[in-house]
Amino acid sequence: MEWCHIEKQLRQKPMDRRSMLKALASVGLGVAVMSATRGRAFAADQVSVYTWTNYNDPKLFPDYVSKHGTPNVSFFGDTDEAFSKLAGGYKVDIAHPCADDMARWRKSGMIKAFDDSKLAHAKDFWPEIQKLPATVDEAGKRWFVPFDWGNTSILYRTDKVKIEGDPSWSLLFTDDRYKGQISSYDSGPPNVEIAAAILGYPDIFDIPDDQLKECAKLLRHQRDNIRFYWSDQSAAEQGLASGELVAAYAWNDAVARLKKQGLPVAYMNPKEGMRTWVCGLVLMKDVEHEDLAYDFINAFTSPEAGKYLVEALGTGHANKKAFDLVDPKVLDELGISNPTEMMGRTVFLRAVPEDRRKKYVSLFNTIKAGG
Amino acid sequence: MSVAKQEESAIGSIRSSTNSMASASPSYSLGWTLRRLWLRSEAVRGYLLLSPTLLVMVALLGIPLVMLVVLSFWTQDGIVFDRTFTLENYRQFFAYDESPLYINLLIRSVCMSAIATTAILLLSYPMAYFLAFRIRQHKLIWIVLITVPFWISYLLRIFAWKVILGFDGVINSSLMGLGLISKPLEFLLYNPVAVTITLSHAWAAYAILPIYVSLEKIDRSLLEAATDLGDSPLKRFLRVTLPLSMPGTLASTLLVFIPTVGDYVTPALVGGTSGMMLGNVIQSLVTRSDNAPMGAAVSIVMMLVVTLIVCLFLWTTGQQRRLVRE
Amino acid sequence: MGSRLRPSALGTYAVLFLIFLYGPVLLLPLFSVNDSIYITFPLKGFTFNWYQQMSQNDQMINALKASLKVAASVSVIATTLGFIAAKAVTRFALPGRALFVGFIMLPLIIPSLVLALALLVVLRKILGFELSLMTVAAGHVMLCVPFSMLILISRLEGFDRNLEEAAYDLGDSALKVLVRVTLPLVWPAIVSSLLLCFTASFDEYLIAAFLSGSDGTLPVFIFSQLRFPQNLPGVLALGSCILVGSVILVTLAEVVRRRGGPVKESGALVS
Repeated sequence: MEWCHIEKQLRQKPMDRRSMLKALASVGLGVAVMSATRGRAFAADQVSVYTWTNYNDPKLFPDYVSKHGTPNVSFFGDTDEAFSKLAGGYKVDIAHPCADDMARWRKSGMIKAFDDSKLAHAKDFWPEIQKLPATVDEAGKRWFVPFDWGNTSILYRTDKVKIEGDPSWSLLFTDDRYKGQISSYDSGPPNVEIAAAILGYPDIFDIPDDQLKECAKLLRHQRDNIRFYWSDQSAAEQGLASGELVAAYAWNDAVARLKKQGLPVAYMNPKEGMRTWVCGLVLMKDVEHEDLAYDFINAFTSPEAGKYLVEALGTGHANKKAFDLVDPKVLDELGISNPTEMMGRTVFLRAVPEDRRKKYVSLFNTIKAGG
Repeated sequence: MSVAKQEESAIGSIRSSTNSMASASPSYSLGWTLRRLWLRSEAVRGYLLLSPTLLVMVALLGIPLVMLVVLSFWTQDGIVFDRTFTLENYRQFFAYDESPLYINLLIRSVCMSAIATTAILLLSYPMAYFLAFRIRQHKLIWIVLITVPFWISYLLRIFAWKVILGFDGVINSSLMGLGLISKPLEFLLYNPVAVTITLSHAWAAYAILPIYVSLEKIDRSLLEAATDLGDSPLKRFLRVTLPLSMPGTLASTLLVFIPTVGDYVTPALVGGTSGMMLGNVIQSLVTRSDNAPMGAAVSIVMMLVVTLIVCLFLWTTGQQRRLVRE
Repeated sequence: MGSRLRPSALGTYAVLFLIFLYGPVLLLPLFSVNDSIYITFPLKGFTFNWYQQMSQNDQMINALKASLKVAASVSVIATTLGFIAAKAVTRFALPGRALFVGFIMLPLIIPSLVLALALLVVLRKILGFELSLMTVAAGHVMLCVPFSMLILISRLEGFDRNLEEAAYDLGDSALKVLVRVTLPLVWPAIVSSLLLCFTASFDEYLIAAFLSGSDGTLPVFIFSQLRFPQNLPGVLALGSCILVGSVILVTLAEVVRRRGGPVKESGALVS
């Protein structure tokens, strides 16, 4: 008996290793071959779109899907990463930046102007977002098709924050009552611009050096007061939900989400104004499938797509006809039931001159690092 | 690097063994002569064996590396590079009076990483020891179990740590439930301590496995011999186990220290306002400020400093090991 | 055999360490059945919604498949390359060896972002390659070879070559020696290297983000999801499935392996 076992074992052990190695090697080879063949076989006659994962939803471009099938969608984590990757040579037909970044995108020479006559829904866009700075050139040509928009303001816990006097962005900067319980966005330009707005400077999108120095004082005060700078909205919402934060810079879609979870939160309407962001689509200069690209953009900006965007993702849509299709209660919850009135009050984010933007970024970095 | 240098003595012994083998061969055919030449040309055989890996690495790394160096002497406007040679980027890095940002962050990054690496090694060594000497069955399972937690996205693990360390987190809730504290402890999260804890967790597998591999290799009879000679367990550990496990321990140190110097995700997510590292600046320069040349210069300075530290570290440990051996 | 250095203390430490390792990770399955989109206490109620959300999310499943493919091939390729290099470095006296080893270690030192961008420019602007999972895998191979090489060097250093020489003397071919003598002896290092490379590739973000085409890997997908917290629980559910799935797989593999031979020696595969 014993002998049998030992013999079997002796014979088997090297075999085991060998077969395991072989198996491993064949798996590796198979995988490599598989991915090699797949890369080539990819649908070449589809428009390629570079955006966030959430916009890769057939319900956001139903007309395109019914006409041409599934587009080639790739994702990015944020628009800075997207810009760098495109500048590095990544090739797509359409990308999804935001209007306040357009000066940089246009200067890069990577994108080209649209032919307005091919944009089916252009006349139905909200007039306020038709001609944002840097999205339209001197000749009146459109370089950017708005798609989604929303507000930015302070989201706070009503059970923990008492607003005294006029609500103001200064809650996130100089209100020492909530030291260590607030959070702001980890990005230079927004914080610098808001600081300038608190100080009452006339043009917050082009701040001269002497005013920038005053802003820096506010930014330092902010740094000492906040718990952390958030780089993704999830972190801010988690903090508010757990009670770690009492107030944070946030996009408006967060309001409905937190309320739905039963949390007592409110969205501030600061005296300096809420900030409105607009993101949209640009056409790359070396676009390969131009007609398909226009079809995609038209599907993306259709009222039906807009209805779905508002209801499912909680952000505003460029097409005002979309708002007629949405339940007013939903719009109310999101705080966008009357966009025209709202947009009259808010501050539209817009492109900062390139040299200024770099200064904002470097100032913010220096302060964050303790300077 | 000089990890390799440390087996000079081992190489000597191979050389003598191959020579003796060649001369002891029975026949003097052509094949034998060729084989002898083949065995003689150690370097050729070595390079031949090394060449596939080296070729792959040169192919993948060569051009990017040259690009990085060249880029650091240029400047950028928009996405266009100005190709006039300049040392401006390096000057900016070292101009401490003008902007202390780079130097300060370099020091902070190196210190943070050194502290985290020490913590990781201290935590991981006993575990690797346990794996190598105490586990006799199902070793494979144990090794896989050590790595499984890392197959879950790093971001999710960070969320989990926030839940544990956070304001309403596991630690605070249980301490408060036990009546030990009346207010949540806020110092648990968003500071260098949190960064060290999170990094220790994130890099544990990278430290444990190399140490385990070199402990596993130790000839058990050496340990028995030491015991027979009357060594206490501690003395035996210091005289036999620790020195023999040095190759793996050094490998872990390098595997953990080098990449964490440039890490910026962890400090940004759990380090709070004091968590900024050099990696964040590089990211900002490259993706936000359209200043890839400056980013390249910062990277190169960082790489040189890290290389220098690593060489110094290996040199001192090498000296110590030589002393121990003598 | 083995040391008798306070076994209970070491055992306790190992348990504590495993708690440290698994504590945070085990919270994820807990929150994946919590009826809230936020990962915070107190728990709100039990739900399987997130698993349903996960199973319907084709993008995420595709990203997972992409990650598995890349990680599996990367671990095998990088370990092979790392083994060859480690063998060359420890077996032969190479002039200028420190320089070569240093060069292979470089990917650890270069910040990933810078490396990723440089590789992107080379691949796209100089060589004109299309981005795909292949390019991601190439980037990851480069990142993993240093890991693999260092681990294998630490095992091969002081390796008893007499065994190999003896096998050669007995007339075995080089391949036979490799399979019958060398590999069994370095097996723990090979397994460790495969696992570490798999792990490193599976969870790598920056290189994957810059070198992937239209099929992104799981970390790329997850980073892109962070802007929309309502989808986070689906990711949690997936993470829990990966955790449970891999533990089951490992246990099954061990059970199957133990059937093949006497129970007592089952540890021998690794040691």
